[in-house]
Amino acid sequence: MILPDLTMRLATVAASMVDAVQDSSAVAYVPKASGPPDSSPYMWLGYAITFAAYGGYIVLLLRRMARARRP
Amino acid sequence: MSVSSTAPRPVALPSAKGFDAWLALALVACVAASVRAIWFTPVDAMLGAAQKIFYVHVPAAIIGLYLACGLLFVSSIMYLWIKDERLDRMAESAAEVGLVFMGIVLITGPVWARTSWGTWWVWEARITSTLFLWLLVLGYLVLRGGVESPENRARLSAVMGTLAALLVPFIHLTVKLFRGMHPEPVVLAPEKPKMPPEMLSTFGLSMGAFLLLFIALLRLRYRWAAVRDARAALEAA
Repeated sequence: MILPDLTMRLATVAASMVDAVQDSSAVAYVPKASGPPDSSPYMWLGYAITFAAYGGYIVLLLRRMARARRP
Repeated sequence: MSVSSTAPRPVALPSAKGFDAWLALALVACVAASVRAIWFTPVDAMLGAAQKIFYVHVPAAIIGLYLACGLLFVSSIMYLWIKDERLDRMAESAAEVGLVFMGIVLITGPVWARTSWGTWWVWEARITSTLFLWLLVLGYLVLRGGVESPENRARLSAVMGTLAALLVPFIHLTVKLFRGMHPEPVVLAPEKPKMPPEMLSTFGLSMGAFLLLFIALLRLRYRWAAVRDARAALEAA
Protein backbone atom coordinates (compact mmCIF):
# COMPACT_ATOMS: atom_id res chain seq x y z
CA MET A 1 0.00 0.00 0.00
CA ILE A 2 2.85 2.34 0.86
CA LEU A 3 4.67 2.05 -2.47
CA PRO A 4 1.76 3.01 -4.76
CA ASP A 5 0.96 5.95 -2.46
CA LEU A 6 4.56 7.22 -2.63
CA THR A 7 4.60 6.76 -6.39
CA MET A 8 1.40 8.76 -6.66
CA ARG A 9 2.84 11.57 -4.52
CA LEU A 10 6.06 11.73 -6.53
CA ALA A 11 4.06 11.85 -9.74
CA THR A 12 2.01 14.76 -8.40
CA VAL A 13 5.15 16.67 -7.41
CA ALA A 14 6.71 16.04 -10.83
CA ALA A 15 3.53 17.20 -12.60
CA SER A 16 3.39 20.40 -10.56
CA MET A 17 7.05 21.15 -11.47
CA VAL A 18 6.26 20.68 -15.15
CA ASP A 19 3.31 23.07 -14.74
CA ALA A 20 5.58 25.63 -13.10
CA VAL A 21 8.12 25.37 -15.90
CA GLN A 22 5.37 25.72 -18.51
CA ASP A 23 3.90 28.75 -16.69
CA SER A 24 7.22 30.60 -16.51
CA SER A 25 8.00 29.84 -20.15
CA ALA A 26 4.68 31.45 -21.14
CA VAL A 27 5.64 34.79 -19.52
CA ALA A 28 7.29 37.29 -21.82
CA TYR A 29 8.97 39.49 -19.19
CA VAL A 30 10.21 38.62 -15.76
CA PRO A 31 10.56 41.41 -13.19
CA LYS A 32 14.07 41.92 -11.92
CA ALA A 33 14.16 41.95 -8.13
CA SER A 34 16.83 44.63 -7.90
CA GLY A 35 14.95 47.28 -9.92
CA PRO A 36 15.06 48.52 -13.51
CA PRO A 37 17.86 47.54 -15.91
CA ASP A 38 20.97 49.70 -15.83
CA SER A 39 20.56 51.69 -19.00
CA SER A 40 22.47 54.74 -17.78
CA PRO A 41 25.20 54.48 -20.53
CA TYR A 42 22.43 55.08 -23.09
CA MET A 43 21.15 58.07 -21.11
CA TRP A 44 24.65 59.58 -21.03
CA LEU A 45 25.09 58.89 -24.75
CA GLY A 46 21.77 60.63 -25.51
CA TYR A 47 22.65 63.72 -23.50
CA ALA A 48 26.22 63.84 -24.87
CA ILE A 49 24.93 63.74 -28.46
CA THR A 50 22.35 66.44 -27.72
CA PHE A 51 24.81 68.86 -26.13
CA ALA A 52 27.49 68.15 -28.76
CA ALA A 53 24.98 68.91 -31.54
CA TYR A 54 23.66 72.13 -30.00
CA GLY A 55 27.16 73.23 -28.96
CA GLY A 56 28.58 72.52 -32.41
CA TYR A 57 25.82 74.50 -34.09
CA ILE A 58 26.33 77.48 -31.72
CA VAL A 59 30.07 77.47 -32.50
CA LEU A 60 29.27 77.32 -36.24
CA LEU A 61 26.88 80.30 -35.96
CA LEU A 62 29.34 82.38 -33.91
CA ARG A 63 32.15 81.68 -36.39
CA ARG A 64 29.89 82.60 -39.32
CA MET A 65 28.91 85.84 -37.57
CA ALA A 66 32.54 86.73 -36.81
CA ARG A 67 33.52 86.07 -40.46
CA ALA A 68 30.60 88.11 -41.83
CA ARG A 69 31.52 91.16 -39.75
CA ARG A 70 35.20 91.02 -40.68
CA PRO A 71 36.05 93.85 -43.13
CA MET B 1 28.75 122.77 -52.17
CA SER B 2 25.84 120.60 -53.25
CA VAL B 3 25.81 116.84 -53.17
CA SER B 4 24.25 115.00 -56.08
CA SER B 5 21.19 112.96 -55.09
CA THR B 6 22.25 110.20 -57.50
CA ALA B 7 25.52 109.57 -55.70
CA PRO B 8 25.59 106.10 -54.11
CA ARG B 9 24.86 106.28 -50.41
CA PRO B 10 27.30 104.42 -48.20
CA VAL B 11 25.73 101.19 -46.95
CA ALA B 12 26.80 100.05 -43.51
CA LEU B 13 26.63 96.50 -42.18
CA PRO B 14 23.92 96.14 -39.53
CA SER B 15 25.37 96.00 -36.07
CA ALA B 16 24.96 92.47 -34.84
CA LYS B 17 26.29 90.78 -31.78
CA GLY B 18 27.27 87.13 -31.82
CA PHE B 19 26.95 85.79 -28.29
CA ASP B 20 24.20 87.66 -26.42
CA ALA B 21 22.12 87.53 -23.23
CA TRP B 22 19.40 85.38 -24.83
CA LEU B 23 21.89 82.70 -25.80
CA ALA B 24 23.60 82.80 -22.38
CA LEU B 25 20.25 82.51 -20.59
CA ALA B 26 19.15 79.66 -22.87
CA LEU B 27 22.36 77.71 -22.27
CA VAL B 28 22.09 78.11 -18.49
CA ALA B 29 18.43 76.99 -18.63
CA CYS B 30 19.28 73.92 -20.76
CA VAL B 31 22.08 72.86 -18.40
CA ALA B 32 19.81 73.39 -15.36
CA ALA B 33 16.98 71.38 -16.95
CA SER B 34 19.37 68.54 -17.82
CA VAL B 35 20.85 68.48 -14.29
CA ARG B 36 17.36 68.23 -12.87
CA ALA B 37 16.41 65.50 -15.36
CA ILE B 38 19.52 63.39 -14.76
CA TRP B 39 19.98 63.70 -10.99
CA PHE B 40 16.72 64.96 -9.47
CA THR B 41 13.98 63.14 -11.41
CA PRO B 42 12.84 59.57 -10.63
CA VAL B 43 14.12 56.70 -12.77
CA ASP B 44 11.45 54.88 -14.77
CA ALA B 45 10.62 51.47 -13.29
CA MET B 46 10.59 49.67 -16.65
CA LEU B 47 13.16 51.39 -18.86
CA GLY B 48 15.65 52.63 -16.29
CA ALA B 49 17.78 55.73 -16.75
CA ALA B 50 17.55 55.67 -20.57
CA GLN B 51 13.97 56.93 -20.29
CA LYS B 52 15.47 60.31 -19.32
CA ILE B 53 16.34 60.82 -22.99
CA PHE B 54 12.64 61.74 -23.12
CA TYR B 55 13.50 65.17 -21.61
CA VAL B 56 15.65 66.12 -24.62
CA HIS B 57 14.03 64.00 -27.34
CA VAL B 58 10.44 65.20 -26.98
CA PRO B 59 11.17 68.98 -26.63
CA ALA B 60 13.42 68.72 -29.71
CA ALA B 61 10.60 66.95 -31.58
CA ILE B 62 7.89 69.44 -30.60
CA ILE B 63 10.09 72.46 -31.37
CA GLY B 64 11.73 71.05 -34.51
CA LEU B 65 8.62 69.64 -36.13
CA TYR B 66 5.77 71.85 -34.98
CA LEU B 67 7.41 75.19 -34.23
CA ALA B 68 10.29 75.37 -36.72
CA CYS B 69 8.35 73.77 -39.58
CA GLY B 70 5.28 75.86 -38.70
CA LEU B 71 7.41 78.98 -38.92
CA LEU B 72 8.90 77.75 -42.20
CA PHE B 73 5.40 77.20 -43.58
CA VAL B 74 3.97 80.57 -42.48
CA SER B 75 7.05 82.55 -43.57
CA SER B 76 7.17 80.81 -46.96
CA ILE B 77 3.47 81.37 -47.66
CA MET B 78 3.72 84.99 -46.55
CA TYR B 79 6.78 85.52 -48.73
CA LEU B 80 4.94 84.22 -51.79
CA TRP B 81 2.20 86.71 -51.01
CA ILE B 82 4.01 89.93 -50.02
CA LYS B 83 7.58 89.27 -51.28
CA ASP B 84 9.36 90.72 -48.26
CA GLU B 85 12.97 89.54 -48.01
CA ARG B 86 12.75 89.45 -44.19
CA LEU B 87 10.21 86.64 -44.48
CA ASP B 88 12.57 84.71 -46.74
CA ARG B 89 15.32 85.19 -44.16
CA MET B 90 13.00 83.98 -41.38
CA ALA B 91 12.02 80.88 -43.38
CA GLU B 92 15.68 80.09 -44.08
CA SER B 93 16.59 80.53 -40.40
CA ALA B 94 13.67 78.42 -39.14
CA ALA B 95 14.59 75.66 -41.60
CA GLU B 96 18.23 75.51 -40.54
CA VAL B 97 17.61 75.67 -36.78
CA GLY B 98 14.73 73.19 -37.19
CA LEU B 99 17.07 70.85 -39.06
CA VAL B 100 19.36 70.77 -36.01
CA PHE B 101 16.45 70.05 -33.64
CA MET B 102 15.03 67.34 -35.92
CA GLY B 103 18.50 65.86 -36.31
CA ILE B 104 18.70 65.52 -32.53
CA VAL B 105 15.30 63.78 -32.55
CA LEU B 106 16.54 61.32 -35.18
CA ILE B 107 19.75 60.54 -33.27
CA THR B 108 18.47 60.38 -29.68
CA GLY B 109 15.44 58.33 -30.75
CA PRO B 110 17.52 55.30 -31.82
CA VAL B 111 19.64 55.50 -28.65
CA TRP B 112 16.46 55.28 -26.59
CA ALA B 113 14.96 52.62 -28.92
CA ARG B 114 18.02 50.39 -28.42
CA THR B 115 17.14 50.01 -24.74
CA SER B 116 13.34 49.90 -24.98
CA TRP B 117 12.83 48.04 -28.29
CA GLY B 118 16.13 46.19 -28.48
CA THR B 119 17.01 47.69 -31.85
CA TRP B 120 18.50 50.96 -33.06
CA TRP B 121 16.13 51.56 -35.96
CA VAL B 122 12.71 50.42 -37.13
CA TRP B 123 11.29 51.39 -40.52
CA GLU B 124 7.91 52.32 -39.12
CA ALA B 125 5.70 55.24 -40.18
CA ARG B 126 6.51 57.88 -37.53
CA ILE B 127 10.28 57.43 -37.67
CA THR B 128 10.54 57.03 -41.44
CA SER B 129 8.34 60.04 -42.21
CA THR B 130 10.38 62.18 -39.77
CA LEU B 131 13.53 61.11 -41.63
CA PHE B 132 11.86 62.11 -44.93
CA LEU B 133 10.97 65.52 -43.51
CA TRP B 134 14.57 66.00 -42.34
CA LEU B 135 15.80 65.15 -45.85
CA LEU B 136 13.27 67.55 -47.42
CA VAL B 137 14.41 70.41 -45.18
CA LEU B 138 18.02 69.54 -45.98
CA GLY B 139 17.05 69.66 -49.67
CA TYR B 140 15.46 73.07 -49.08
CA LEU B 141 18.78 74.42 -47.74
CA VAL B 142 20.76 72.78 -50.56
CA LEU B 143 18.38 74.35 -53.09
CA ARG B 144 19.00 77.78 -51.56
CA GLY B 145 22.72 77.30 -52.00
CA GLY B 146 22.31 76.35 -55.66
CA VAL B 147 20.32 79.31 -57.02
CA GLU B 148 22.23 82.51 -57.85
CA SER B 149 19.44 85.06 -58.26
CA PRO B 150 18.10 86.21 -54.84
CA GLU B 151 14.51 86.57 -56.16
CA ASN B 152 14.45 83.13 -57.80
CA ARG B 153 16.09 81.59 -54.75
CA ALA B 154 13.51 83.08 -52.40
CA ARG B 155 10.55 82.11 -54.63
CA LEU B 156 11.65 78.53 -55.34
CA SER B 157 12.63 77.85 -51.75
CA ALA B 158 9.33 79.31 -50.48
CA VAL B 159 7.46 76.79 -52.63
CA MET B 160 9.65 73.93 -51.45
CA GLY B 161 9.47 75.05 -47.81
CA THR B 162 5.67 75.16 -47.95
CA LEU B 163 5.47 71.66 -49.46
CA ALA B 164 7.99 70.20 -47.00
CA ALA B 165 6.14 71.60 -43.98
CA LEU B 166 2.89 70.01 -45.20
CA LEU B 167 4.38 66.67 -44.13
CA VAL B 168 4.13 67.66 -40.44
CA PRO B 169 0.37 66.98 -39.94
CA PHE B 170 0.86 63.60 -41.59
CA ILE B 171 3.75 62.79 -39.21
CA HIS B 172 1.55 63.83 -36.28
CA LEU B 173 -1.17 61.38 -37.35
CA THR B 174 1.10 58.43 -38.19
CA VAL B 175 0.85 56.92 -34.68
CA LYS B 176 -2.94 56.81 -35.10
CA LEU B 177 -3.12 55.85 -38.79
CA PHE B 178 -0.51 53.08 -38.82
CA ARG B 179 0.38 50.31 -36.44
CA GLY B 180 3.96 50.88 -35.38
CA MET B 181 6.30 50.76 -32.42
CA HIS B 182 6.49 54.48 -31.71
CA PRO B 183 4.34 55.35 -28.67
CA GLU B 184 1.37 57.71 -28.90
CA PRO B 185 1.73 61.19 -27.34
CA VAL B 186 2.40 60.98 -23.61
CA VAL B 187 2.32 64.66 -22.63
CA LEU B 188 -0.10 65.87 -25.30
CA ALA B 189 -2.46 62.93 -24.76
CA PRO B 190 -6.13 63.76 -25.50
CA GLU B 191 -7.41 63.33 -21.93
CA LYS B 192 -4.45 64.29 -19.69
CA PRO B 193 -0.65 63.80 -19.54
CA LYS B 194 0.23 60.17 -18.80
CA MET B 195 3.10 61.00 -16.46
CA PRO B 196 3.60 61.42 -12.72
CA PRO B 197 3.79 65.08 -11.59
CA GLU B 198 7.53 65.04 -10.75
CA MET B 199 8.36 63.81 -14.28
CA LEU B 200 5.89 66.22 -15.82
CA SER B 201 7.44 69.24 -14.05
CA THR B 202 10.91 68.22 -15.30
CA PHE B 203 9.51 67.91 -18.79
CA GLY B 204 7.97 71.41 -18.48
CA LEU B 205 11.32 72.84 -17.42
CA SER B 206 13.11 71.10 -20.31
CA MET B 207 10.49 72.31 -22.76
CA GLY B 208 10.91 75.92 -21.59
CA ALA B 209 14.71 75.71 -21.68
CA PHE B 210 14.92 74.25 -25.18
CA LEU B 211 12.30 76.73 -26.39
CA LEU B 212 14.55 79.54 -25.14
CA LEU B 213 17.46 77.90 -26.97
CA PHE B 214 15.42 77.72 -30.17
CA ILE B 215 14.55 81.43 -29.95
CA ALA B 216 18.18 82.36 -29.21
CA LEU B 217 19.48 80.29 -32.15
CA LEU B 218 16.79 81.63 -34.46
CA ARG B 219 17.69 85.24 -33.56
CA LEU B 220 21.38 84.55 -34.11
CA ARG B 221 20.79 82.77 -37.42
CA TYR B 222 18.47 85.56 -38.63
CA ARG B 223 21.00 88.26 -37.67
CA TRP B 224 23.74 86.41 -39.50
CA ALA B 225 21.54 86.20 -42.63
CA ALA B 226 20.86 89.96 -42.36
CA VAL B 227 24.59 90.76 -42.11
CA ARG B 228 25.36 88.38 -45.00
CA ASP B 229 22.70 89.99 -47.24
CA ALA B 230 23.86 93.52 -46.33
CA ARG B 231 27.42 92.54 -47.11
CA ALA B 232 26.37 91.10 -50.47
CA ALA B 233 24.50 94.35 -51.26
CA LEU B 234 27.56 96.36 -50.23
CA GLU B 235 29.81 94.34 -52.52
CA ALA B 236 27.36 94.58 -55.41
CA ALA B 237 27.09 98.40 -55.05
